[in-house]
Amino acid sequence: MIKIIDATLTMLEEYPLKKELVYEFAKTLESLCLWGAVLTPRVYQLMQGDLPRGLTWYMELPSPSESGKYPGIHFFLSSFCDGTGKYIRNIQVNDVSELKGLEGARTDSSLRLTGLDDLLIYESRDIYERGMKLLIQASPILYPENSCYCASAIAADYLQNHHNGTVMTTFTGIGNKAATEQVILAMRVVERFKPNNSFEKLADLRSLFETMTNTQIPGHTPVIGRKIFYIESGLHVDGVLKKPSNYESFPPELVGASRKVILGKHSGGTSIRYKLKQYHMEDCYPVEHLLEMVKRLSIKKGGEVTDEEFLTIMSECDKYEKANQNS
Amino acid sequence: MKRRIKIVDTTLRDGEQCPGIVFSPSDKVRLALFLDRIGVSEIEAGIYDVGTEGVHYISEIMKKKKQAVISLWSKLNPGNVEESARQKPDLIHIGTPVSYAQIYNKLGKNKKWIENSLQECIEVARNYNIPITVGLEDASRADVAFLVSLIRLMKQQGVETIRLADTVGVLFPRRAGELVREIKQTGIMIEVHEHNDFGMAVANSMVMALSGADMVDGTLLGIGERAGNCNLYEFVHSAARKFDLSVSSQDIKKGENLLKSIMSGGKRNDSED
Repeated sequence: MIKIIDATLTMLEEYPLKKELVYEFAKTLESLCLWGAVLTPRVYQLMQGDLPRGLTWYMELPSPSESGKYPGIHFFLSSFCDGTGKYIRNIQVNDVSELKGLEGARTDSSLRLTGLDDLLIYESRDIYERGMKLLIQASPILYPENSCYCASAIAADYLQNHHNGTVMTTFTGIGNKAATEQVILAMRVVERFKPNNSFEKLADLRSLFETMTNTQIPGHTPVIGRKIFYIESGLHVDGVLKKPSNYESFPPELVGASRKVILGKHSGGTSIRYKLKQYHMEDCYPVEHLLEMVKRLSIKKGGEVTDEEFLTIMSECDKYEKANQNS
Repeated sequence: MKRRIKIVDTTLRDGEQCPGIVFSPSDKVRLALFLDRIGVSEIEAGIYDVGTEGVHYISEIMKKKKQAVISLWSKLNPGNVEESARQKPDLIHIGTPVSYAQIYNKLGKNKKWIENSLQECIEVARNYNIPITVGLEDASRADVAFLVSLIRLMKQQGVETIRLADTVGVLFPRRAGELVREIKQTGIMIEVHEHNDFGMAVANSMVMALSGADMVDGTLLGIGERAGNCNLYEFVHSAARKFDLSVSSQDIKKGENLLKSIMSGGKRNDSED
């Protein structure tokens, strides 16, 4: 079984967290079918040990001797432990060649491998294949880093090769890691991970994350951006309206998003007809004339034409038509 | 010695497809000449379109550029190819739908129509003596046997380069590498064009380059439809250790700053980007 563990809460030490928000964040992770979540002693104290029950809880704890202080935590992650019982040994791997060390790893110990940024930037395909084979044999929790901008792909690649694999990720990839939402959706699409589960709560997770970090996630961020299903260009609007899967790799509803047709420089007649239909005015205006006015305004203002501006264009078109009739 | 990978910038064409982004003709000239100066191999300058910014900016770019190949994107339509050819770019890129979703659902045509139309388009470009590349749109969801037979047909017509377009961004590293290795067997030059729907565009481009692709497409800041395209800075930053790219990540970063200044100059109603 594929397991995805979210470690976002370990990256939020610097933020003024509130217990209710952290609890809600964890509950939302659970609803997204994540296997577990990782926290730090500070977050645990903030939560006063009150952790949602549906997740397997992990804690980053440099000193394993203190583990008795944290009831409710299932596993502890440390570089200074033997990886047995409740302890998972963390090993930093900076190069794929270091995976050779896994050949002698004890089979009864639990490992987390951090790093491996360049797993996909291999010297030769043989080295990659050997590295992946060793990973599958040792079956560690893989916690890839993103300094080569490949962390989500590394996590997805590992899970595609190893259907009993476990990866650790963070929401939006905060902390230079693989992005939880990207790995979840990738697994959903290519491996039918949790096929009956909706992932619309990703939109809630985004809002919670933004509130906790006081940031705004850019509109075109993969999977969770608010604007990833906005379409403008004539070709794409035409294709999506005929059949959404022509230009969408997954339906917006799956991730709690919605589709929107934007008017602008790249619009085509289909977009104008679509908007007119929304206003129940499909046969009342010359589409080509409206399209020309939309393009002209978009170029003039250097951006999209809003619905309000389109209504203004429609009324200007009315005046123009009346003036022409009177003349 | 590192293998050469040509970088193709498509900020001015596919990047501008991002809803709400508008470049003026002078913006396009500024960006194209900057990209030319820093060593980008090919610049996809736009789509032939008299209805928006016109075509004069293309001739201005052609006149002032020093080294980059300047290409124009055209639909799979002999008339469009001819209009593009009249602008005298270095190269015409013909977007050719190849998946069943695109051929049957979007166009309402069939594979034979695609083959015939493509041959007509190739003939038009040949008459103008302008080289072409063929963009296999939605190649990641296409039947590989059809791709291979279409490529063989194109090779007979003198086409040397095809673009594997992951139009809806559904490739993952394992399949991305396999696809390039399968197509590579035809002996054609391969350009790869990745979208970032699952955040895999840079990694896919990397794996495809390692698997034998010759050219990699991307955009400044990764702008483009939906979640955008392969981010050029991120690709160049990571790939420079393996390949000779003829452009540095520092210079790409400067290009990003130029793009940001151009985008902030417009009155965009987009506080989230």
